[in-house]
Amino acid sequence: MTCQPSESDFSATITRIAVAQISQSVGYSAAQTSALDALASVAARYLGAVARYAAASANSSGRTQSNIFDIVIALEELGSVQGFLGAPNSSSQCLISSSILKEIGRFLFYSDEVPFAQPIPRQNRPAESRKIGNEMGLKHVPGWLPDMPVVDGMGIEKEGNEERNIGGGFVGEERNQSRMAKMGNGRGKGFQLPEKRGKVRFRMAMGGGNWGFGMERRNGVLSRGGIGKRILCESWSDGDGNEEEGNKKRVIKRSR
Amino acid sequence: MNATSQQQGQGQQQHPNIEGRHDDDAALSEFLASLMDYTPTIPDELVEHYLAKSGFQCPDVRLVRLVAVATQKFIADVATDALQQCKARQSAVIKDKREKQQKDKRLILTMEDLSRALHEVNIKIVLISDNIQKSSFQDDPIVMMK
Repeated sequence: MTCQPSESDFSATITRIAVAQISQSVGYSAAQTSALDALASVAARYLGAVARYAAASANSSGRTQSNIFDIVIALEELGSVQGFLGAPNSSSQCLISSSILKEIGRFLFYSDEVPFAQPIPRQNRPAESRKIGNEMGLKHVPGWLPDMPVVDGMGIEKEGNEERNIGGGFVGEERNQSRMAKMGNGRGKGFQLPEKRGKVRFRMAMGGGNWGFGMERRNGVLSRGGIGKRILCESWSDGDGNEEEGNKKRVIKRSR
Repeated sequence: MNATSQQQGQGQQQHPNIEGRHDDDAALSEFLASLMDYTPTIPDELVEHYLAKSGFQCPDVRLVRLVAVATQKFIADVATDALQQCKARQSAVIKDKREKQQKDKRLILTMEDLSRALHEVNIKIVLISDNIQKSSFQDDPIVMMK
């Protein structure tokens, strides 16, 4: 088994591809490997330097989030070695007169677009799925904390394909899976099985399509589960108010 | 008459400032909007990765694009410098026309040209061992100029 490439290899490879594309757009048709690696390393460090200067500038102004002023200051600091046409940004004037932005505008205007060669799989970003406030309405929990992981009555976290106890796993993965589990619940209602459960009705017709993450929807009923678990499935009646006769309570067990 | 015209003059002096600011703000917003039209070669995900690694926090996508475009411009400038070095070296060697045209088609980015181009931006390429080369970016260019 080959060892898995580390995260830094992934970003370094992507940087190398991007830098190769840029040098191709400038006019090069080939490059030495060492030269390409060096230029990619320079690009990565430049990005890091811009970020560090911008973050430092924001922090010195008492902010945690950087804005466009911080970026312009950072770019000017990094560009001051080579020099740039025109005057640097003065705080009294509007930013549009900043020469850095003018140079970038000129670059945008005159250069053709060269989009990146291959699509990159986007990581699930927990920041996007994080909701403000707690869904369970726990008032003692401050709102800026991330959501509680979704846990069903048996103390096992609902998972994508396999079970796992709460003790293991990384926080990022838990958030991912809790997000998936929430989506799996459909309405995300109630994390614990209520005492009195309604009868579960199923229709075997194949109405509705497949959801992206491998779940089937049968007339409004979402079924999802791990191994050997009982699932609360809620069915709601069809639009015309018809409901199947012959109710049955169904226990879904999957075995491997 | 003089006093009123003076007052009017002053009033008009103040207004262009405010209107000028509105125009500047609009121009800046237009500039940022034009950023979103352009797809930089460096993908957004990669830029966000490096930004997050260094402590840059910003929910605005346009600023991420701005950094990506600025980096692309920087690398393009370095590559252009290296290209010019390469072409200058080729034109210095006088050979018959056919050979020169053949060479022009294959412009290769070499370590030599690159190190000369990077020297302009105060970046040193240091040979550590026979196999490994490392580039060092001077973090504080102002200090290095002294």
